[in-house]
Amino acid sequence: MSNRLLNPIVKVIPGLATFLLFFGLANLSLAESGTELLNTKCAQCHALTPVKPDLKERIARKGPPLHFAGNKYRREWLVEWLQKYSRINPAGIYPPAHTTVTDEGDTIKQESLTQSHPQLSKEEALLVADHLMTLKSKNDLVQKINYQPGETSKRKGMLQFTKTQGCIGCHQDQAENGGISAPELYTAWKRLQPNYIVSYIIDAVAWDENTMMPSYTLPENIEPDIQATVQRLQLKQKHIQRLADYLRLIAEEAEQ
Amino acid sequence: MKSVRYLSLTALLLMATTAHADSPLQEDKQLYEFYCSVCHGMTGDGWGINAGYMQTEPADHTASGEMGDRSNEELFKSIKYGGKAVSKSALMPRWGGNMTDQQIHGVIAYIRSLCCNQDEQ
Repeated sequence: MSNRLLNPIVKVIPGLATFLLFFGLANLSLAESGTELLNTKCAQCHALTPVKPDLKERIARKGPPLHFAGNKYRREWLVEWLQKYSRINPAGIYPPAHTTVTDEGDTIKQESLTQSHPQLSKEEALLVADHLMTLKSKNDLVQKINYQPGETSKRKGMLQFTKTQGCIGCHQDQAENGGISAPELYTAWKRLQPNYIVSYIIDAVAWDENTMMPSYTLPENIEPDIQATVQRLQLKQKHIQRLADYLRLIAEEAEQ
Repeated sequence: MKSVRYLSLTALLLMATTAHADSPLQEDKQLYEFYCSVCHGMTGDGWGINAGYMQTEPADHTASGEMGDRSNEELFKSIKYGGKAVSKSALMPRWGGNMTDQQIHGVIAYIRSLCCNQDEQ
């Protein structure tokens, strides 16, 4: 190749190198800021690495574990929520710690619940959300799922939610409708990734060994006299589909 | 000499406290509070924080009559496989994937202490 042809390329190389170096470092610095923000603002209340199975961990827990946040949350929801907090667990992360016994039955001491969450600026929220999306422990659990939104009617979904599975005992499917011990679910579709929702319905314990949600995976040692009954009652694919579809429907309604 | 006595006393008290915290009944109570109390109530009277939102009242574990009719085996199956496994409400979930059989037996022992010890007192 002649020098005349090579010269312009040679001249461009230093500029290109500077450009790449600058943006490479800038990205590195952003990633570092995300990690730093996570460590300073989140790590005190959220587990960033897997925790041991121990009820005491849950009893002392202040916020949900985040080590699988990248498999759990929708990025756009995280960005929004980190800037404007709203309560998801009506009775807190560990309800018995906030419960008081009265003549009217047990109630939640509202003053004992966390009333706020660190509010981030838009820039901080973007950085933290991006970093959270890289935390993907338990990856194998979502990779097994391939949920496709179906055509479940609201009525069938509601029956599944309220009667067949009894989710309503602990979860709300609209404001003020349903139990309060677990996260409200009328915004779950907006918050959570669909495959995570399905995987968590099937086996919450596989995600969080200190969960208060029942696992629908059958135990290995089923007593012979009850095997047939238990198999018949096992959560089936169509039930899971209906529940996930129902969460999508109620979230869409809540949006309107 | 006096300080040695105080030290021994403190050590004994500490040991007693630790033993109490880890006693089976305390562990069973903790399991009950963790998995059952939100529906069945902190005292087991059936008035947990979720009870008001349910179409079926959670069982009152302090009612000796009602609980006396239910065998430990039935309670075990109900806790491990859910209410429907023993022809009770679907609102009672299955806990067999969360608790070991031994832990479930511990919860039953605690439930029995709520319903039946009271009569003996």
